[in-house]
Amino acid sequence: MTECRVQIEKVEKTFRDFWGRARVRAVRGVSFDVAAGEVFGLLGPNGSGKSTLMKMMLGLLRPTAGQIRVLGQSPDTTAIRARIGYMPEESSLYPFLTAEETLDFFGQLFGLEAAERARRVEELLAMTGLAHARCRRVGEFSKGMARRVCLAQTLINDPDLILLDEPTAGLDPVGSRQVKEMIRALAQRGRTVILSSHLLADVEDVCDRIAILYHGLLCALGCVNDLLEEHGQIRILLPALDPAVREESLEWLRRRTGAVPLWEHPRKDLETVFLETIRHAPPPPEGASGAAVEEEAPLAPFLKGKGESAPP
Amino acid sequence: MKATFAVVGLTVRALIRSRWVVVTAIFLLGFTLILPWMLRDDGTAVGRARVWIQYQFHLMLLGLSVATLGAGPGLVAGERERRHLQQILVKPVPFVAVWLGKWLALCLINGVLLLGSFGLFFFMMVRSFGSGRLPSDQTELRNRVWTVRRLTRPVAGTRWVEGEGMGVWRLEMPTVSAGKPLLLRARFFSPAVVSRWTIPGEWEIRDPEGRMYYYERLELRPGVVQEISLPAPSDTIAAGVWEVRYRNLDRDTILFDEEKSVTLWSEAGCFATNLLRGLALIWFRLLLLAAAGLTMGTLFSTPVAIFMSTFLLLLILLSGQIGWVVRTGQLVEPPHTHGGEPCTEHHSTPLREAVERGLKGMYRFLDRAVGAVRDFDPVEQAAESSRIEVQNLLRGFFQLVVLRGGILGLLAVLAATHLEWG
Amino acid sequence: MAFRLDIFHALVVQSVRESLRQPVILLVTTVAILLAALMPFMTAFQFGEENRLVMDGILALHFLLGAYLAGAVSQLGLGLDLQGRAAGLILCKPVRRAEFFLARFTGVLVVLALFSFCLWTAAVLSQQIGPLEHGEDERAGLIILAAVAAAHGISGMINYRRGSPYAEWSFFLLPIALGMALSFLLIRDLRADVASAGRVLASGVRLLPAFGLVYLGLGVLAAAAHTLAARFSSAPVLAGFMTLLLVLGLSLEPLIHEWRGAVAESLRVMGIAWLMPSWSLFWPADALYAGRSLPLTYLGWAALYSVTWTAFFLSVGTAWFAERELG
Repeated sequence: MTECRVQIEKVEKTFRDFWGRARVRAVRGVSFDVAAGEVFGLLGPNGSGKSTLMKMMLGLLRPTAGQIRVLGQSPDTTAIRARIGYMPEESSLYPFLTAEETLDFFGQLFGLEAAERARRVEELLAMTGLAHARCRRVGEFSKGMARRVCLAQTLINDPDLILLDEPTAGLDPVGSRQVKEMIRALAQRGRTVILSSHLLADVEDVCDRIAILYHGLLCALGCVNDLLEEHGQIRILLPALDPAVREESLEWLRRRTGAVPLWEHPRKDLETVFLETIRHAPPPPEGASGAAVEEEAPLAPFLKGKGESAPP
Repeated sequence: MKATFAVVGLTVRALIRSRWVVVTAIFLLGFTLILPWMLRDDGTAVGRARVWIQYQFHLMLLGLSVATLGAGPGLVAGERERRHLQQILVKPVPFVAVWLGKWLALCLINGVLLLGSFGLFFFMMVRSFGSGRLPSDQTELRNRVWTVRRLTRPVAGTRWVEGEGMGVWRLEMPTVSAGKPLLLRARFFSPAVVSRWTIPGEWEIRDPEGRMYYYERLELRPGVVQEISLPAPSDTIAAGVWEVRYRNLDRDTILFDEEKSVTLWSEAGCFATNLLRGLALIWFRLLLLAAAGLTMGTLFSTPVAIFMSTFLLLLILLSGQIGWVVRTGQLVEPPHTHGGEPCTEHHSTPLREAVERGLKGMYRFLDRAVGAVRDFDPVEQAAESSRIEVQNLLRGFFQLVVLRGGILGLLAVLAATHLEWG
Repeated sequence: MAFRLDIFHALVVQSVRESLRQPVILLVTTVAILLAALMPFMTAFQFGEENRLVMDGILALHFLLGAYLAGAVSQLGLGLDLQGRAAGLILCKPVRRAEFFLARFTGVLVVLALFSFCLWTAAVLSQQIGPLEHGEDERAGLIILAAVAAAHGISGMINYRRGSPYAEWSFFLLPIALGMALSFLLIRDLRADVASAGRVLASGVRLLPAFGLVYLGLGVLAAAAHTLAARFSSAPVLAGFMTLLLVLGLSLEPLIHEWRGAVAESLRVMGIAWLMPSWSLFWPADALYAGRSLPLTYLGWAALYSVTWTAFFLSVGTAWFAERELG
């Protein structure tokens, strides 16, 4: 049986006003489990309780009712946070620190040795394309660059459980794709990822299972494939056919199935077009700001399990 | 512990890069530089040196207190409001480590600023008094300022012989080394102060073996503390009870108000070391204020926490008046009289009594909270070159830092366990 | 683009509303009123200086807490707007930078005016508490406490019923409640003893120019704080400059006095006198000694002095703000 990393049981969260009256019921009786190695998506419109649920998993907020177990323990336990990585919705990094200092500082909070910290910082900066901006203060970064630093600090401890709140918000399509690839790679290494997002395509791309929240209620829960698959239909992709052959084939299908088959030229998605454009763009001029765009940005070696093991 | 040190590093960087350190340093060093031109002294070298020390210590104390209370709340409340603190608290770091790290950083920076300012002051003082003074001024300075002295107060058994106009004080002195001059300080009051400026009297001091150590007939001014330089003994005199006698040669009655009006001061230590001890007491007070600022920041939002901290500083500055109310048990001066008839302006009503009862209770509470800070005020001692004892230093550390700072820290940690950090 | 009063008005209202929703503004005002009410009980009376000490204390509260408010409102208003990029959001609408800057400053003045009014009413009521020139009346102290409690209680009730912001309502109700308390005292005295009511009224009229004078000083301080907030986003830097301005402005008068003795009347002394505003000129306590009142001509000159300095600071601030990049 697969190990359960997060258990949410009938969790409720009510925010109260000064007089103790219920002001907002952010989460209402939500229950689900997340297994090891799973990529779990939390979906829902604004104010549906996704971030609140994540903060309760981290012990920042406390449930009004119900129970949460994270890595087998209460979220209030300080020690379990050594195995958790959290990327908040807003980057909220110290603006006066440089990218390198930021990662080094968060590494120190996990008790990593100086040499190990330096190695991980180096690898994470390379992974997020910020190696050239290591000495710039985070306060001067664009939102997307700050997001990359935030992502890097999430992974500095090679966590077993990764909580990502809107991870691709503010990232360019390249960064967005890198994050998605990274999530998949981490899941393959047995890491558990819980992410919340408004971007349904992102969730669809990476998640094994999803939960849809609305007004704090759990409205749907299941495997992405099960939820998305339209079992009554199939789609066949073929190279472009001669019109006569195409009509003949459609006619044959109509006769055999009795249904009216539809055809269309498939469209490239905008992400693919964008990536192709970037790939063929001239190299950046000297002194250009911004994150380096490398489509094949490697996962940091320490995240692949090479070198030192995860911190205690 | 690693996490705590990481927070120390972070906080030091925050304070430096937010220009807090620069602004505070400019203020402190700037005022230290211009202070000699703002002093108002009595025109003597000794008076100027004492006033300078007093003003400089007050400047360091007040300047760094304000700066610490301005920064402390923002380090917790400000970071919580900007959601920086949440990023730390989702790591395996308990709040106590965060609080401690920030407190240690404030301690460190305050210490550095304190030492820097003191170093500049000391350098200027040495340059100012080191040369170009009259030999008599140099002797006076050496004897009354640069020499740190231990104060000895009269022991029980002191008496005032009313009929003979004579006072006798017994003082238990430590060993007095050969060649180290003593100092006698005395203050008395006289109704003749308006008509005449000085009162004649005979002073007689005997050592523990009953030998006459000093005898002089002096004309002294009532109402002010008089310092009489005594000769240095030719041989070491062992510890024992000394006797000081004063005979009033004037027809008017004089009054030595309290026992401490006659004190003997023996040489006991190095001037610079004593100032450093005073500096340490100031630092302890700043450590307490740092704890207060951080705890206020944990409990309230930034502006409210800064206001509450400033209020606390005000209470500390008013602790003398608070202590007076608690000591005397009265909120106001007793009714004064006009021509022998009691003033009838003040009469009690139940409402006034209730308010006064409530206020007295409040004063008692405040005295318990901030009275200790007043007890460890080093400014007067440093300015008078009165020895600050190591025991006093240790007591100050325990009372201000360990006990009160600890209580504040505990309060912050307890509050943090009940707070939500969303 | 012409000056639009409606836009200016909207900006001022927004500025006042934003400031009043900060709990610290309410806290400072409430503490100031309560301390003013307790002042007659807390002053160690001696040598017949009772009235003077009480009034000195209340005026000191007015000036010092007002200075704190001026700095806090500027930092919480303009300073945070610039940091939080709300300023950029407003300025991408058809609003000129100078309009925005001056409207924000007007908002600070409105808050300070309400604060000053509260302190003035509290001072007039506090004068009735003995042992003062008009005899003892501790009930005046109770009336102040009742007014404060009523303002807070009613706003609490409004907050409970309608969820309206507590701090904002309380701040608006405080001057109303104190004004009503003063009217109550006057009506009560009118029914019992017309002369007594006349004395209360006279006391209020006598104190009004004094509080007006402190308000003028606070206006200059607010202009300075506002200007500094436009240039320096960092709170420690702003606080540092404000402290310097306050300390040097307070010590200007004695320093000049001393130097005059040393160098006689010279251009240098006059130059230093005009280098920065002197806060001693806004200190009316001595003028109120022995039941006297502040001469209106002095108030007029002080107003001119205040307006000159305020205009100077605001000109610098407007220029700085016009140059500032809003990221």
